[in-house]
Amino acid sequence: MTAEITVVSGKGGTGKTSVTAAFAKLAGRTVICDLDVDAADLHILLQPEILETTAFEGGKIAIFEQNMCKGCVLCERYCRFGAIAKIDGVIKFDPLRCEGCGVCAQFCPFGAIVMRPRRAGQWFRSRTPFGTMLHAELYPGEENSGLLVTQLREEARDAAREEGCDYILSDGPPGIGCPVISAVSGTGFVVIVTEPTVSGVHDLRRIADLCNHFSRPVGVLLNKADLNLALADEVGALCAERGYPVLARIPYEPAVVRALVEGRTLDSVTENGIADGIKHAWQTVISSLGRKEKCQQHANNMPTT
Amino acid sequence: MIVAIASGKGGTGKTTIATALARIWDGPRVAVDMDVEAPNLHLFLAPSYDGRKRAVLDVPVVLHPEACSGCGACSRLCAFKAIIALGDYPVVFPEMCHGCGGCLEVCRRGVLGAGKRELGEIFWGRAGAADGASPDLRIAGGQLRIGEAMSVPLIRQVRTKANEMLAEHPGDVIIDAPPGTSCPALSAVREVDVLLLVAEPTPFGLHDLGLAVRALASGRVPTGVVVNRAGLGDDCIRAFCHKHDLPILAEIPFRRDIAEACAQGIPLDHMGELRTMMETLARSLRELAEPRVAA
Repeated sequence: MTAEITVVSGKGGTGKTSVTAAFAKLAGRTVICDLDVDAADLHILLQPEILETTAFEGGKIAIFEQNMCKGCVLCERYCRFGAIAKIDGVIKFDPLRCEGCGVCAQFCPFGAIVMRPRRAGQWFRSRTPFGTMLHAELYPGEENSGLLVTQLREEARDAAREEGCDYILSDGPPGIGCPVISAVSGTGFVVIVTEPTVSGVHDLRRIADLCNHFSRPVGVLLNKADLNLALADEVGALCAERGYPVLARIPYEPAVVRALVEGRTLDSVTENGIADGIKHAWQTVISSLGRKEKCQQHANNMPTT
Repeated sequence: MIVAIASGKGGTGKTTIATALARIWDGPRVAVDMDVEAPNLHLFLAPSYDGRKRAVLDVPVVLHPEACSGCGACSRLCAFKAIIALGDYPVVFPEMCHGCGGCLEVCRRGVLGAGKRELGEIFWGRAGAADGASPDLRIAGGQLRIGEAMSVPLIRQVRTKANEMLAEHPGDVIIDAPPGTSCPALSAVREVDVLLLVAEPTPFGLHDLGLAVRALASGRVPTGVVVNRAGLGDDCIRAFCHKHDLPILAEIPFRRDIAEACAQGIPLDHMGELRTMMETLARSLRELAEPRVAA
């Protein structure tokens, strides 16, 4: 049975990608997934060799046949997204505002608008020293990032099944919206990387509430833990209150950045006990999964009446 | 004039810079937090609120199931699988709906009516000048409901609120944008006079600055860069900016005391020489935007 582990943060820049890369190294054989399709960075550390590239079609877009348009502006009236406007007698269409709903095409009496699939990005199946990697590139300004995330997760599950991997490790997007919901719903375990800053604690609550909303088990990794002891205590208290294990407290340490610049992962940073901390965090993640699986096994073995 | 502060990568210091700029900016201005998924600007500007409002999206509800002929036009039109003709009448999945209104238009029998889905809330208020912020600073922002997927319609409503505030009492606008390069970030930096990208000198920072320049800096909008945590990694950001002809308007050094002060919520303009740096940054932004604002 493959377990899916998803690393998220709410606030950006807390260290999701660094933690995911280190976990990928520690996990041994795993499938790795970069679900931050908007600003994917995991490939910088893992240097995947791309084996396969597939186009991603995210929804549709309206295409105008100007020569068939009679200028009735019915489309402008129906569009609720402000994508169509008649300026100086000419219909102007803004593709960035188009949601692809197709209402304009439906009601155009002259058949001047057709809906076409919108190529919104591409995704890759790649090879890394630690296992197969699924990652993607969403084109600038595109939506449907949630759909792309869902697609990557499906590919990752197929790869894990084919290769008999125990884990799927996913680097999630920041925030709590569409792509994050697609990344955490139904996952086996959520690792929230946070930091003891005013914003970090605020956003930790929001992402924790989201995980709670989807009933996902959570562990918290406190990065830059010694930056503010009072706020670090607040994170600790929040974890205790909600029953989240604190996976590690990684200190604020310039050596971490030096390692990243050199392309090394956190498990190689021996300064300040960082390598040990991240190894301990990974062990805690695995044992949390184990507990859940054992519970499930136990439940499965119960005699049914 | 309208300034937007953005970045591809999260956590580079957008809100820190936006806070400092909003505090020291001369004249009436509205600081607008468009990062509705993880809104933080209000934590640092500590406004007194003038109002809060539930933000909703218009979605269909089944009002008269008995009138449905089962023609299926609504579900054929819906591009988002939010309405499905099942048996005698349609079933609506409101959380999938984008609010295009097509189903209401296409149904000829009045089966559907207008309903609402809560997106979150928008709020507005004013910051006090007690702790050294220059006077006449207002704030507007939004907060996405937990479990809500769509941030763009909420960002649009925050923008509408800010425009109402400006109509009442004109001023400049300082936008704190969400991270990334997809639709939420793009809708936050639309129609601005100057774009400020915050980057950090690490491999991730460089890569995401490249994405942000490609996605957000259209060439028509003057763009500048702030290097945060300068000296932390290597010289990559400077080389990139030189190559792409992007002016570096400020460099905030990588120092533990700055990181500790920021963690605690102390604004940059309370930190000695950084105040002067932020004042210079504000001037540079005005100069960059000038040709556009004048036109």
